[in-house]
Amino acid sequence: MKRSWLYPAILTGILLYSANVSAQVVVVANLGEKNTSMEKTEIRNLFMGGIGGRLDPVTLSPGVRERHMFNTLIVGLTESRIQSYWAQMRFSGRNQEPVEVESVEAMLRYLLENEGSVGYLPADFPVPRSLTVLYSTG
Amino acid sequence: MRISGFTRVVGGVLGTDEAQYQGYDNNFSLSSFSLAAVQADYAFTDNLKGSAQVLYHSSEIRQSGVEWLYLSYEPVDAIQIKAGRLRTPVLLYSDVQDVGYAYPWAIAPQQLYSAYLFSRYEGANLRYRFAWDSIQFELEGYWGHFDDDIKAADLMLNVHVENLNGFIASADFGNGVSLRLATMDAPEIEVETAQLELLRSGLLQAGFTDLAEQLSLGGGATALISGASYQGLEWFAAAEWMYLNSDIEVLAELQAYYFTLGRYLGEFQIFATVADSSYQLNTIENSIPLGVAPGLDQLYFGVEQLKQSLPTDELFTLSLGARWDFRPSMALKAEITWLDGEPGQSSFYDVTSIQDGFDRDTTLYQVAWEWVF
Repeated sequence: MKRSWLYPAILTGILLYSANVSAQVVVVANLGEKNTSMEKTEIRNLFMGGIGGRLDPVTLSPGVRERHMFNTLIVGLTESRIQSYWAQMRFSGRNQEPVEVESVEAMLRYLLENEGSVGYLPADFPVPRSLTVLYSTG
Repeated sequence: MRISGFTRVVGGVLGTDEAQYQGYDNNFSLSSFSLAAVQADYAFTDNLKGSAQVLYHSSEIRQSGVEWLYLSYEPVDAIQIKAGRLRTPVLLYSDVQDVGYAYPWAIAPQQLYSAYLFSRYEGANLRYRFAWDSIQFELEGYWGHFDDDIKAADLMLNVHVENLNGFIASADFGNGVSLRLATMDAPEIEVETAQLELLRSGLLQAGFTDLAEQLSLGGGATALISGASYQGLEWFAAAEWMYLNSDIEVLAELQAYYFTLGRYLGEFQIFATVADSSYQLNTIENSIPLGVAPGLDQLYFGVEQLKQSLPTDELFTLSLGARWDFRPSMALKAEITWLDGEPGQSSFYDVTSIQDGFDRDTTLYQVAWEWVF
């Protein structure tokens, strides 16, 4: 569902973020303003197709810098291993990889539009108040 | 509807002209393991999906056609029920053995990933997942029947298995370490092979009932598999061990393992794999007297020839390999494998190709291109 305040929020975020690029990420979720947090291992398991309750992970496309940071700092696996793993899951009918978006801006838009979604943003990205920060690598 | 697929082009050459191994000889060939597959997944509802996978294989031994065809029902996140034509999930990569992109090797270690296990079945599969603290557990059971041709050493066997079943338990500890334990039970195996049936009827007619009984291919087989793996940012390791036992006289007891240790270097990975198999054939005593009558001599040599054609696949291999994930969803591989078999045995070589004096030692060079889409 599109909301009128969504795009100004994204634009402000992009402008502030582009001034200084962080080497850390924050894991954020659209949980309807609930205060909660997750352990690093729980996030790893969620993004690797583990039992995640009602949360839907969303990830960035291969090659995007923040995906590399997330893979390194939280998942603890190389890009090639993650892709091999998802090939194994997909072609054995066990699981489907998370939804992929092309950019940080698309990630923010997806998170704001989809309740229950969990993604990640650069640590110095101004996180809208409607999203909940679950974990920070910094 | 989602369409996806995978393609692999695998080429190899063997360092000898005295034998063939897995279809390779001393001329570079792409026809042993190259393949292409397309998979269609359709969601009927949020919980009910259908999948079909059609595979074209370049090898003459492997059949091309519908590899997977099943319905999948997930009443809740933790439970998945699949029914239809499925791949048997015995080893870690058994159900994705055709998807070379999923593993580091050009071909998975043949001591375990050869055709002995029943690669696919028609039946049902139930998977249950749960988490305890940071550990993800998975329990899986399958049941069905198998009907296909299996090539074992020099024999082409038409194998029919009723009540094929197995159980898998695995744990992912959330830190890169995972463990796996699996069983496979095939209690009712029927095997037909023209070569053997002719010999058995000759033995029965001549009154060698015990010997004919020994050459019966009906019976059961069980397998026990354990495995462990570690995946980190810099290193990876994987090992599987398999014990296969059968009460079929002319089949055997097999133990096999592999261990792989690898290093990630950016988009590259390098690895070493050792694998070994030991084989225990049930002894077949050829009780036919030689030189009494021409007919008996014929039966005697028939039994001897059969004994020679049974698989005795003891083989040690050391492989060094490299993989380059040069772009998302594509990888190139190169691998060199030293084969150290046992003189006098089949040692996974194509039996009819083995020339006298070949010591079962040679080198296999392989390259592969992998693509998933």
